[in-house]
Amino acid sequence: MNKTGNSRQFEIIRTLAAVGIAMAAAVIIIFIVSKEPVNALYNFIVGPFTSLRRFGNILEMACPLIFTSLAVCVMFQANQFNMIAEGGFFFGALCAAIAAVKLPEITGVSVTAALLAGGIGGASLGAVPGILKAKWNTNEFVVSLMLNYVALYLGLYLMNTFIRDTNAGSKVSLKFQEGFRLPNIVPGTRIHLGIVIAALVVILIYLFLYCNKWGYSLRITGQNSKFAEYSGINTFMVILFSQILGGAIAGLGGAVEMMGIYNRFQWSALPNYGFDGITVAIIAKQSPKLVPAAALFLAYLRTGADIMSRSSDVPSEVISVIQALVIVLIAANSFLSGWKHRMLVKQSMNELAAEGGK
Amino acid sequence: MNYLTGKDMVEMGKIFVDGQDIGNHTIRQIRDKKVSHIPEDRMVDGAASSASIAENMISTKIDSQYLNKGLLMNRTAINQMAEKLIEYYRIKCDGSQQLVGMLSGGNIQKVVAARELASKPRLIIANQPARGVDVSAAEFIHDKLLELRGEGSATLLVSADLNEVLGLSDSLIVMYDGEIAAYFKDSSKVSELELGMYMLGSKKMNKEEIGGLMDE
Repeated sequence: MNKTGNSRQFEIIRTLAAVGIAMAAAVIIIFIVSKEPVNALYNFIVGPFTSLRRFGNILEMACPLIFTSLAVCVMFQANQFNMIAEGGFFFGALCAAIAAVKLPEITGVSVTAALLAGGIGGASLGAVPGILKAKWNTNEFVVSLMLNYVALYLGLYLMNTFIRDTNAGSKVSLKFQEGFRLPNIVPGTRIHLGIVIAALVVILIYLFLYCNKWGYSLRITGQNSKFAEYSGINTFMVILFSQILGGAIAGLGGAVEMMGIYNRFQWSALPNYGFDGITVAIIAKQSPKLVPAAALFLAYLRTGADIMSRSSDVPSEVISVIQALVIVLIAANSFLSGWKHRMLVKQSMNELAAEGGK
Repeated sequence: MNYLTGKDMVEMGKIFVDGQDIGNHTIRQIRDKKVSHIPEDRMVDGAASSASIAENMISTKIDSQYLNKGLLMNRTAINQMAEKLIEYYRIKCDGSQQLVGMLSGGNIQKVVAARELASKPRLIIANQPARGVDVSAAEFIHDKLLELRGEGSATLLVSADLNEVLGLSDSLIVMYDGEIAAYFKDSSKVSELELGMYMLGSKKMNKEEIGGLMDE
């Protein structure tokens, strides 16, 4: 076992410990607030697995989270703390909705076109903080956070003006044409083709980040931009490109969600998937490989909390506590670092002893 | 140094490498002319400490045919190259996947040197190549620089260490207050005391004496 492997192992243990502590805290909270804690806990932990439909809920909730957290991974790996995943997701969904209402229906082509529209919508949004950062060194965090609201209201305006269903009682769009819906792949649930697309995107982004020279440039720029520049990497392009790509993935996720779950556009506020994507990316340590697992975990918590709030007296907000605790514990770099230090020392002692024995 | 390596654009004057003006070239373009650069501060410019040794070694040559297979990078080639350089430059580590930040200063500097010197550069700009490293690593890097000089790489050595300068260089240029104060064609004939006078500005060569520089 070399030190590199050891340090990776340590990260995994640390993440699991953080999750474990957070879950324990949740159990304690449930016991404090609930009059029937055992029933609540049962629904929270076992509930999601009691029927196919509930299990399907986990997968369908994980799907958008995978997209947004991948978007966050790409941008965070380039050291760009861009929050555009939220607005990009929303705007991508809206662009796809417009395409699904307005474009002519052609078998096979139409779905692709709508997905593409979503991706382009998200990318154009991601480009704004990207250009500002690369050219004038503005803070991409602030710009993207504000831009999310621009995306929200611009999106609602577009929806109202072009695709609003005037016969409907609330502010919703016209129904999507049938050819633009992503087909359901597991009968009895709402699991749709989007989960397959999500898996494909995970693989593509992994290959991009770890097996491609552009992805390599992106990671090196994120780790030490001065070193990247010194090595001859065009950091201007990397900063810009990472945010455009992040926006595009988020937008694509929005499009997939829109065409997989809904039959008309009906959001009137930001759906929060982008911010949850950040949570997932942090749990996954910004590694695309771990994103599906982390997304499934959060989706499982959400589904469990939903079921719990419906069948017991504990509100579903309890999972916000878990989520916050997990993030704090994972983000705290020195959490368990004393233990890691002792491990390293012990290992080095063993190595020395082994050498002495020869 | 920033001008020579392309970090800043030149506003006045010209810089020639192989007879071509590189004053307005980007870092990439200068590096493509086979100019290598060992930076002054290895932790700021020279390496990414949270990346692996292999990743640090390929940062300047990611466009090369050898390391790419179509759209993807050729992992076996990268790791082979890294292992070879680790062995050749005697870098003490657990393998090419170890993070650079876990190495000692001398070994990090060897990683930097391995990356910069392995590509058989035409010109090496070495800015304090042995600063803050242990004696054996310093000697090792000096040997490599001399070896490459023997193979025909021009080397511009910048250093605050007089012994390093006197020991390695063929000829010397002393700069004081932004101007060339002295030029010695043969560094073995210069004493530290004499050098010191020029460095402090108490002596300055006239145009004719320095003039030899331009003939090179």
